[in-house]
Amino acid sequence: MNPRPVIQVAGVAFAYPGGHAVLEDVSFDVGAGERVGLVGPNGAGKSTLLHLLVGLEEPSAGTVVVAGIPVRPGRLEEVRARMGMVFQDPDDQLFLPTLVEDVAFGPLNQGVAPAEARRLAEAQLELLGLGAMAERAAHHTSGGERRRAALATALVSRPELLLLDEPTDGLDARGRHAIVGILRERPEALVVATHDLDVVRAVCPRTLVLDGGKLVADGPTERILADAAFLARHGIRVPLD
Amino acid sequence: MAHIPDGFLSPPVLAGTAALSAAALAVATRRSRRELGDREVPLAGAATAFVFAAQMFNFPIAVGTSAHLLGGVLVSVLLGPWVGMLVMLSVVLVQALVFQDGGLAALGANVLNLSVLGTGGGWLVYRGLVAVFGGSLRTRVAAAAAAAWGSAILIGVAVAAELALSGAVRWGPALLVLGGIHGLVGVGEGAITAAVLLPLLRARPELMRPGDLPATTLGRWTAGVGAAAVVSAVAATLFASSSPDALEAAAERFGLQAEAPVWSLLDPSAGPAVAILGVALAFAAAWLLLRSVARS
Amino acid sequence: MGFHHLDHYAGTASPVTRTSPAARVVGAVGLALCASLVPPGAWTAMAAILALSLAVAVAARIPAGVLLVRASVPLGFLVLASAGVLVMAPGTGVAGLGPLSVTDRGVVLFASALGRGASAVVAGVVLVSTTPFPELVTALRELRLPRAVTSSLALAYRFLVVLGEDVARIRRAAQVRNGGRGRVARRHLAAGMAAAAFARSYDRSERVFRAMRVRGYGDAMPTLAYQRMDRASALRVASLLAVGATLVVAARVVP
Repeated sequence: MNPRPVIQVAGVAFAYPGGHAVLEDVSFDVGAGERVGLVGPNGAGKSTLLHLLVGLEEPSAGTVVVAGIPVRPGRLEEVRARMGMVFQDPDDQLFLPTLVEDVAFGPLNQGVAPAEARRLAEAQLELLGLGAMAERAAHHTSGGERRRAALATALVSRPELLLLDEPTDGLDARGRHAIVGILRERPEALVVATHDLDVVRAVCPRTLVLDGGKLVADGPTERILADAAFLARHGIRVPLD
Repeated sequence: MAHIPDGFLSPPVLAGTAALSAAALAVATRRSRRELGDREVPLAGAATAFVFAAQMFNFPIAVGTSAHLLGGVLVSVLLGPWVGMLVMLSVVLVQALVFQDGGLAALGANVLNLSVLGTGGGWLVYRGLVAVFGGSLRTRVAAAAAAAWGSAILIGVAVAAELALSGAVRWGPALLVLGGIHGLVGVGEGAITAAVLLPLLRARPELMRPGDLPATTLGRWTAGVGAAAVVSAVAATLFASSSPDALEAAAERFGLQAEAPVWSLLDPSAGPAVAILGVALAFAAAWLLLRSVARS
Repeated sequence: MGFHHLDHYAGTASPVTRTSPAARVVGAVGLALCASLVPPGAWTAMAAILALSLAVAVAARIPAGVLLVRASVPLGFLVLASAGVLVMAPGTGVAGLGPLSVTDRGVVLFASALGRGASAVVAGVVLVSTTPFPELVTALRELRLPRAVTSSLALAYRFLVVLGEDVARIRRAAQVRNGGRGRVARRHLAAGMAAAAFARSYDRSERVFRAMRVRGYGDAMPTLAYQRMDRASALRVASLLAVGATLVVAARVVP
């Protein structure tokens, strides 16, 4: 039995109206429950690729299919209900007065009744160790707690796929550890775009490498991260001395 | 005294301003929704936060004095008059509820002055000036500065009129003093609006709204004449107020006295049925007026 | 920046905090309205409504000192504003004040503005001292203010804090580079920072809008279930306002 992949990206290209090409001929699949790291230097197109996956941008060529549904105008609502995205800055994701309202926002948009949405949101916060902070404003929590709350807003809808943009950016060692611990236990398929190679090593068995808008490697994390010359060539890890 | 505290306005003025504000905001809500769609809420939220933040910056004006921005014209130049009015409504609401800046019962009057007249009226002046003088960066900034100044005077005149209609002050001195003070404060408002707008539009030219330029010659002329009418009405009131007796006489002739029969109809002591009828009439008139403005 | 320093007594259990937030808003605005409807010169009624507002403050367990501190700024403003009425009100002069003359009606209106305004200020302080900002937003929502207004206020609460942090960063960066020395430079700095603040909040709204859309935001801003107006709250606020209204009617009927 071979279940359908959660992500099918085929021949995708993306360019801004000005003509500057961001992605060229990118193709890959991600299976159900698979955890994939997405690495590459700044400007390689990592964030753009994530935006194409959630339909915030439209590819100029190629197709993106998530959970068997093509990502294109008209079907965005349907396909977004099956995935969650955690943005780089949690302050972009936590915009309501209390955490519980932020977490309940997704379910409410999907038509869950308010009382049930509150119950779901509280349960999700509890699960991530934020039960006591449900009624608190995001600015009264620590950086690590804020990041977990942002994660909760994506997880509460039980997605098949979770996309994360720099999930450990700006966190201290303890905060990073907490996020890694949560991600390793998730049953969903994950795509983690990051500069933090330790996180990729700890969470993702498979790694995609983007450089200059092209997919330059797709394989086991262990093998890719062991190739120092390759990492240096693509500006992913350059020795400082 | 941009924000009227509780204790000054008479019942008819409280009711009338509340009705006018409610009607104007019903229109603004619908129009801003139509213009921005689901983009409206995050944009208005961010703009509201910006106005609060901007009001915390102190701009040094002269020795020992400083002023802060009101922001209504600035926001409506950048995001359009309807969002601008809603943003200023939120600001006035929070100032009254959270900071006791402006009365709770006088909310209708303060919303009318600052959000509807100050912001909507100020934007009309801006649009008229841009229509006549063109939409280059410099003319836009200059037009916004002039409109911000005009909007401050408009607010002062409105406050004076509400107090005078309440019988709390005489027309002449009220218009002269409040119009004059706001005319001075308005210079600061205009200067700050320009000072903020210039670097902002230079760095982000995409924030210049193309729709503010009427496409046809007729549209340009209408906007220009409209703006000129607003400005000259305000100026005439101010001039007239320097000879209080003439104004008093004029006001009396038009029945604009607190004790005059037209307004006493709205006084609850005249009997509840008459009061309700009066408020309903005022509301209907305001509604019709604003609908026609909103369509144009 | 933010509003949290204000809702200090929001957690203190009292008959006032047990009343639903929407009822609290209605009560505060209603009391202010009652005070405003008392005719000038009806001193007994004014004092009675002020006593009523103070009774609510006592019921809310707000310490007298705190009430006084929080009411002092708006009260000070009220005194300043009313002072103009002394000389600008119609009536016959009773005392000279330089080139101006204080009128008889001016004195009555001055005292009446103070008397009526004080009740409104006390009612407002009680409201804000017992109601955290998020609760205030849900109350306004329940009272059917336009959705666009309540939703953008809900967002503005977080935006203001985040923007405050952004602006503090810009300010520090400018100070490190020795910006803002001298009046002209300070004015330039303030203008530049305000412009930057607008650009930042505009960009923030774009990013938040993106995050909202990814979570299925479409047509309308959804809201969570919240504490609705219950019978006890309605009863409490209705009886409070009934007393206020009775005082108004009494003052208007019996001169």
